[in-house]
Amino acid sequence: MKKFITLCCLILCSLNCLFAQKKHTISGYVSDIKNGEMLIGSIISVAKQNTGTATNAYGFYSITLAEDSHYVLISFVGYKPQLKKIFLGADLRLNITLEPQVYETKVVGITVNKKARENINRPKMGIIDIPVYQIKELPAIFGEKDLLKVLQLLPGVQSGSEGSAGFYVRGGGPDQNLILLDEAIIYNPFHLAGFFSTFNGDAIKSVSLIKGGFPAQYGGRLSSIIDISMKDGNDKEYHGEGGVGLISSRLMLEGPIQKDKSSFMISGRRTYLDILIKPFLPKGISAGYYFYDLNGKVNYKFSDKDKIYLSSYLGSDVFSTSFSKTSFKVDWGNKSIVGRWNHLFNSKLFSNTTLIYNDYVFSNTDQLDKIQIKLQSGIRDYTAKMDFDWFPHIKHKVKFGATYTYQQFIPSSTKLQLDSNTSFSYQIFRYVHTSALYINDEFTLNENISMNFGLRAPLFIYKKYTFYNAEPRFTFNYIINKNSSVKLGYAMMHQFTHLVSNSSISLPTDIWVPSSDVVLPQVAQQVALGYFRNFNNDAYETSVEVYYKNMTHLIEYKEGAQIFLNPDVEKEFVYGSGYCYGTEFFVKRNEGKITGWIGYTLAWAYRTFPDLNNGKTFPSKYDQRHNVSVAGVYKFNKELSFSTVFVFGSGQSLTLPVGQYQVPMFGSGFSALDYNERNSFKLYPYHRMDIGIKYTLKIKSVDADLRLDVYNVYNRRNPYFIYLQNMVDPRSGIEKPTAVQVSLFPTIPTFTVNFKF
Amino acid sequence: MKNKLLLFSLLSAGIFGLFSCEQKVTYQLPQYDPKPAVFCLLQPDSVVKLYLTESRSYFNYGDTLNKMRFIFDAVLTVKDETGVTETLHLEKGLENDNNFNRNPWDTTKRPDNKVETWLWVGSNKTKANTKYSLEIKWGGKSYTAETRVPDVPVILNTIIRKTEGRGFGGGGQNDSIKTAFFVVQDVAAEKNFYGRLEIDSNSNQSGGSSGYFDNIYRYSFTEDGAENGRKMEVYASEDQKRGGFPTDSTVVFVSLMNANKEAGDYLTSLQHQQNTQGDPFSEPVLIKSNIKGGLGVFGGMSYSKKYRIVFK
Repeated sequence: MKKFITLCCLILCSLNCLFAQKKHTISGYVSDIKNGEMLIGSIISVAKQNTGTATNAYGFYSITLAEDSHYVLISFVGYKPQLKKIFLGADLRLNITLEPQVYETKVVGITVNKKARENINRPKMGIIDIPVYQIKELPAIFGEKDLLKVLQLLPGVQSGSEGSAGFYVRGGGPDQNLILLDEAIIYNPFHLAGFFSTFNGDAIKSVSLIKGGFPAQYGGRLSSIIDISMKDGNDKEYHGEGGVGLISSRLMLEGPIQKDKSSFMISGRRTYLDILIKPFLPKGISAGYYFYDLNGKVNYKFSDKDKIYLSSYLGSDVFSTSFSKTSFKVDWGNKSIVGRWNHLFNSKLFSNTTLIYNDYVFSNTDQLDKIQIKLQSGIRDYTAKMDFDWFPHIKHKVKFGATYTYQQFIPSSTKLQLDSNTSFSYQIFRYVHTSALYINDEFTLNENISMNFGLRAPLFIYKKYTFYNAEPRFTFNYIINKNSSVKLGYAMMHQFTHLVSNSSISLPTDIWVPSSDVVLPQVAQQVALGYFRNFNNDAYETSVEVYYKNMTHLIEYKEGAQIFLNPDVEKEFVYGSGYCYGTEFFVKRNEGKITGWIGYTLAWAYRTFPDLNNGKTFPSKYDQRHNVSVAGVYKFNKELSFSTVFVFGSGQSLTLPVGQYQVPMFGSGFSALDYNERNSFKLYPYHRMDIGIKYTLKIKSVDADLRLDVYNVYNRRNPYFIYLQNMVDPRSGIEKPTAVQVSLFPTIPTFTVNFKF
Repeated sequence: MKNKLLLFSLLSAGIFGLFSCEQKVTYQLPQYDPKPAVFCLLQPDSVVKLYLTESRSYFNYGDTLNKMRFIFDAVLTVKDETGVTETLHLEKGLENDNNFNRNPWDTTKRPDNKVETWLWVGSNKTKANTKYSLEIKWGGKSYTAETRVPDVPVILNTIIRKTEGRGFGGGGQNDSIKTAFFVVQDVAAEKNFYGRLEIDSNSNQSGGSSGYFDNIYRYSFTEDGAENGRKMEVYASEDQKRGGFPTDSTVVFVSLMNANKEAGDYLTSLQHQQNTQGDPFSEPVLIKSNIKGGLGVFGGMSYSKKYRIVFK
């Protein structure tokens, strides 16, 4: 805490000196000219001065300059940049609207990301923003555009098993990723055992992946932050967007409630496998599975200084079956409600106050005649937070704030109903308080050097257990020349909630448990060094990042752990440490007929647990040596485009038995297995290519695109898992264990119709 | 775990049914050199009895009978902490396979099925609280292990408690149970695993003399853990008159086993491996062993006297 206060004082003192100079502030919002959507992360750069700023999560910017004439360039990926000449004699409010970039046959000259050079100039590393239009362009399985699957194509991000939307970042586990939808934590971002994510692309405005160099406003997870913002809704005219696919359909509607003041957005998606299979079921039996997502958002602008947002998400999976007097139903899902109030104190100080409620519940109801048993687990959060953006000087961009969350964990809840009069119930609750203070300053020292200093102070309370610490973060950027820079970053993170899962796949039965005096908070420290360079007048962005991450108090499950409905799951944990290191190469083409990227990761990830693998260090389950991903879009003309994705990854780690012996106390009935070192066996590498062709046409006022996507175009049988089976060799007659590989998805073509009106 | 698997199976059945396929693929499977597998639990005032078998590659064998492959050409020596050394010799024995190959609730009488076994046996009786080391010379290599013979567990008394509700709030008429516990004085600075051993009421067995095949794998152990050196309660039995048991007896005979760290670690991990074998989503369980370079256990175990517990 002392360090935190000292840092605050230092920042304030340095800022005070700077205030003495005569300067004025330009501030305002950057939005889309057509629909009024605020553009998050738009770059405002000042010509002839190697400086600039970016809009915050609500499209607000502020920049303080000397009294003079200035050329200001405002740019955003996918939009036509604007160059404005201004004379700054007093503080200026300048709201800017950008026009979306439309296809031009003469591609040369498009300055999508040009001049901003954010990747070179800003002290940001390990942060990748993915434009939503790019997610929509790439091919997808069953035609379901899935942003989490697009994240898997980035360097440092490793996909889970075949077809899964699960991902692991820089050697971390699946629970070490914080997924935020309009600031609400989504605890289970998957549908159907991880094959689909809960995010409907039509409702999403922006996605950011942070895998290193964590800004101080984020905390609570060790490996990554996925920050997703929902669309605000068009405040100028009514529009709709949707699609009809193989397994689901979706629709999004948006429009003004009061033009230029208030708007709404509502979006829904539902699968219909349950409806399709109904006619094929025998009489007296009903069974089905479906999932749905509903997103809604409204906003109201009271004045130029005050705006409120109310957004909500509701998503669920439902599986049910019944016959005779027996029924079985499983449903699980997230719901969240977020209320936000933006207030502009003055042209330099912007605040956002947020109230969040979110809830994740897994429920299983079984009925046998009159007897019913209902099992539940879940987690419920109530969060209040305040964030401030303060732009005291052109060289400083300060963020500070506080957050408090009250969490209610329900690891296990059981209700047994024997008849209408007799019932038994049993519930376990855990109540946790988590809070944090943070401050972050993005500081430009001179033309070549900029830094980002941050400090986060989390506090965690569970019963009599209290934990607090300081998490220093910094990124140092040295600009070598206008096209290249070197960056160095360090971040410390703590994690207070832990996912209990014994599987490599995402199951709804996975539960979250809080830290305690037994389950200590997990801690990670990460250091990264990167070289960033743009080529061909910024047409290509490239980077190489080297990282090392050290983690302590990691949790694994005891060998042979029993976790399903176990009220004392903490007793099934074992504790250890881990480290990961690697190099990530990234080449991205921003403009031209072909756009896309190539990523390559060379990485190592290890764990050491005194109670596992006889105490010896072993490769982590997420240890993947090589990972290559290629994503590209080729636009033939205004109507036709072709896209492709290729992925290659080293095989998954596995522990195999290598020997066996009979244990006398079990007689001849039991063969004990002698395993090799944990995770030392590797499955065959995973690789796959998908392609997609999109044809766009206009029918009256409706823009439609017809998509043909082919998943796994060369029908690669990738290993989902293997099992060993005794098989008799026909030549020798000797029975030998043979590895049988189970693959999941062969070539799958999908036809989808999307429309926009 | 079964419920979890069932759930996953149901959810994924559609997708697997539509798309999945199996393929026999050739993997370069790891090479394996056979190792000696030891099974020896020293008991106070008993001679050393040791099973020595040979492990084999999981991937390359023609013997599907899963018979024990006894090692006959080894040299085994056991030395106590005072330096007294003895060389073990081979003895042929017969064990009742039927005795240890069925579930605990199965009381049906079956004809004995004797299995031929080979034991390495010593002549000297081992003593409690004494450290022993084992050396096996086999195949040009040496394998070693150490253990200490635990003392007979100190049972202060037995208590019976009536548990209401048994986890379900509200409690019904049939929802309470009488449970007996041993109150044990744990030995400080020593890792202990306690387990109950139920004895046939018709048996004259008085604990400790029942040999190796005492069905100990059927029962979970209670580790001293945080209770190290303190008084602790160890589950002894439940009133069997309550539903779910085949007998209506209100009298049970039990004794308490005290396994040392080597034996407890081995037996616990062995049981965990047995529970999780065949579950493709479970992490494999490595059986803990204190045999340097080899497999199995050279541990110690002792038994209390037989207790008669009456549920009234």
